Amino acid sequence: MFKRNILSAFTAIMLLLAQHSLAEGGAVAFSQLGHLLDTPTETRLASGAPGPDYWQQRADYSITVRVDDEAQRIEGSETITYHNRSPHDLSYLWLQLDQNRYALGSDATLTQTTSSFENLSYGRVATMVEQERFDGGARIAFVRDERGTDLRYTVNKTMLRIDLPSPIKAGSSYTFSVGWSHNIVDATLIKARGGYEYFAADDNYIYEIAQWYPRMAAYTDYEGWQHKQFLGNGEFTLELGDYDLAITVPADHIVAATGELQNADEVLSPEQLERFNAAREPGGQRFIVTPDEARANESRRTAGEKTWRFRAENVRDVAFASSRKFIWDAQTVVNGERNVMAMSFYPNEAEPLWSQYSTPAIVHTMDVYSRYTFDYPYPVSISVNGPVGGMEYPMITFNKPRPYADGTYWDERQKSGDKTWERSKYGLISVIIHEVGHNYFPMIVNSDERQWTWMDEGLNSFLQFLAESEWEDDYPSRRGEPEKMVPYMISDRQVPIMTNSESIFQFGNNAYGKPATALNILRETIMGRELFDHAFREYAQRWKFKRPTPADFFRSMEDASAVDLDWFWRGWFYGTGHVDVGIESVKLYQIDSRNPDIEKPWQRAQEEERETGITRQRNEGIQTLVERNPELEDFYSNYDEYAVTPWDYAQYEALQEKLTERELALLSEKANFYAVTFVNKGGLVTPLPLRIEYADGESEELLIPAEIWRRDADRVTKVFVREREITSISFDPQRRTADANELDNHWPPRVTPSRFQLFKESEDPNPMRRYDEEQWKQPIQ
Amino acid sequence: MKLTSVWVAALLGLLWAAQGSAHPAHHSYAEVEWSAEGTLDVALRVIPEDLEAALSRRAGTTVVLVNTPVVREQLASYLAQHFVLQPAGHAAAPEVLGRDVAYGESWIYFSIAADREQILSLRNTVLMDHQEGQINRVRLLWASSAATLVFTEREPERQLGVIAE
Repeated sequence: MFKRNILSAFTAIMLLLAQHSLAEGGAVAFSQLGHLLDTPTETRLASGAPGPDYWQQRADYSITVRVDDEAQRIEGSETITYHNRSPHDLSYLWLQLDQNRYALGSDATLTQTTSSFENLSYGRVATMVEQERFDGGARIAFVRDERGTDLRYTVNKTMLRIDLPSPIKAGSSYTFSVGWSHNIVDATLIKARGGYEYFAADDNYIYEIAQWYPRMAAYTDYEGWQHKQFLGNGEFTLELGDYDLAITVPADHIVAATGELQNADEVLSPEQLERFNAAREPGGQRFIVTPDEARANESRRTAGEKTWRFRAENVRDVAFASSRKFIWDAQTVVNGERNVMAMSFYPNEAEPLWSQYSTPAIVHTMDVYSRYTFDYPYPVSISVNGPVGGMEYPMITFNKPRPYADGTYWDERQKSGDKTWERSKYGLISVIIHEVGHNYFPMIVNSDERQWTWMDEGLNSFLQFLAESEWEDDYPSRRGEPEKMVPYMISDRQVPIMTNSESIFQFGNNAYGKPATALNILRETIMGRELFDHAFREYAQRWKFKRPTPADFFRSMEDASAVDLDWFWRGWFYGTGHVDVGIESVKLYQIDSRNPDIEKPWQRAQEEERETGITRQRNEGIQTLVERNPELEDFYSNYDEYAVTPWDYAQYEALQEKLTERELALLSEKANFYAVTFVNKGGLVTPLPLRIEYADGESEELLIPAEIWRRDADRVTKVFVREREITSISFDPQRRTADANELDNHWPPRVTPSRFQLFKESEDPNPMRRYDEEQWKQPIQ
Repeated sequence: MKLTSVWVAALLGLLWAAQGSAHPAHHSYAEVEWSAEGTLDVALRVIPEDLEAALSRRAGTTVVLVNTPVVREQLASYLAQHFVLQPAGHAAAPEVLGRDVAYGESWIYFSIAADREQILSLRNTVLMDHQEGQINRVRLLWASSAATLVFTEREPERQLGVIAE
């Protein structure tokens, strides 16, 4: 196995002390973030916490809206009371008009590119046509002050500026009203976060209405007005406030909305009201509108309208859904000190999946997320099935997965062993966990998704993975495990996570998967669960109902854990490198004891172990000249170079007299020094989780911190001092670092089959069948 | 491609959106390697909802990724159009060998007999006909660890490079 390398005691000590060579790469990888982060202020502290001067604006709304079920249009008015808590006087206000994304000739449509018309799908062609024809922009009917006087305003695409007669002084409030209307987009044709779905079979609609009213743009200490135009990807950030919401719909519609229903007795039938009140008590899941009632309601065309009233406190937005097709189930659970009503609204087309999984998924999400952050602070949490794939708003989420039109989902049409059925179920559960989870990030921890998608999508995808892991053993999560992120991280077109939302390439992997994976690695491999969970919870609680920036997150995680993570943020969030560490070499060193009684026999044994060279082997038996002529022999002809001589003893005694006791002890050290060289091929520095196996059959798990790369980020040599013989060393055997290439992770090297090879092997007959051709050709029943 | 055929397919698009999300992720990943027999062996990971929707649109009926001769033929036909080695004449049509379908990960296995002495390019438009923003990645197992090519609508064809032994 090894040829022992002999060390002097001095060399051994130096080897232990200096296991790196100096190189610039390590210094760069571990340099502090410094100028990449915002300068700390008394508003945002160097610790990552909000400071004593922290401020944020607030906006309270009173909104009335009517849904026109004939024309698929809404008309509304709102009164906004804007609280200027900034230290600045404001001479104008900016509001978001996200609906103008759907205006004819909008930037979102004009800047959409298509590289080729070849192979264009139906969906994309239909979307193109619809976008050219559909006018979904907002019509502003009026903008007035509290006394009813018109205010001057300017619409700049998806932004509206109100010019004020006089500035709103710091610390004061201003009340004004806006009236507007817009056509509702067909969300089955145009990708949208809100819209309608039409059901031709029963001539009904489901409306999911979102980003629908003129909303106060955020005004912040770090960016001033957040009025980046809405192009479709970067969702939004808004001001927190209280909402009174009055939604007028056909009288036979069922409405779900952000907030607590204020007039259940006016809008529900007596039976529904009784069930609703019963469902408000903690207990099991129950129907408020049953599937049969919903089906009967589909054909009903009750005359007149009803107005559903909701109140929501301390939210940054409101959304709602309305349809006469809705089944409604609910379960009230205790979360912290609050009763929370988890509710699901869905058509019969969503059955049988939805009544079984939607509300339990809401409850599960709140349970898990609250443990890692804070108690859920709202009275309701809602999941609605409709045309929107998956989207979140405070207290209400839109989730699309649905079974086939015949009411079956996959298992009923699959052969035994085909597990495609799982996808309906897990697709639904996962999207609900994700969207309900967004209540925590960014609805409550109010980060700015128009600027940094990862701050909510990434953190949320990480918690989604934890929640999925607690749903059942071996939950088939699509994101979270480090190895799932490898194909993206080694691909040749990437941008850093710290990229603006509208410029991200490979969006899902960049903003969802990679940050989720990064946090998983932080938790499991770098910080450990205890330190990570404490720091993550601290961040969430510091910034609950406040506006964190990336620097606040990075700093909070370090501040609460005493772990310097600048290298990690630099590599994972500001860079595009990947993890690929290989074991380049392993060398064994042992200390030369200088004792001739030990060293000479060992040298002899080494020589004897060495196989004789081919020439000497073939010359065996041939009589040499010296053998034929003994007179040619001298002392050196039969000299035993491994024999211990008096001179050897004298040297050894002289050495002993010169050494200290400590040095003498080191000379008799029996340890093996294994010098293992790791090479960093991917560029991203990483901890080194190692498994060391010994000749006695035992093994050892070892986690070397990433700081091993701090002087040289390209190549390091680590010495392992062990009395036992090491038989193998493996880097990252549990696949916890997102290492890109397993082939070089082992000493001695191991062959790792490819995915295709594994498939081929699985297709081969089992070993028992391989002995008999008739058997291996016979299909398995 | 005639637009009329696109419209005819309109009624079939009722399956699933890939992974419900405000930002749907549409991507595939393939590992490719040369076999001793001279075929390019491919393990292709897809989002199964997307692939089923694309196959359904072509077939004019709902297609579920089960292991039947019909579905294998539909898959092979689809791959012959969307996972193509070039220049033409130096590679055969893909032969679908199997699939492994589950919610977490779904893999399709196929082989393409090809002239490995040629410097080949791959045109990978898998699912680009289905969803805007589809991104396909292909890892060349014979090359260095970071050799993963990205295929987009803008750049659907990339050279596989000199074939190493």
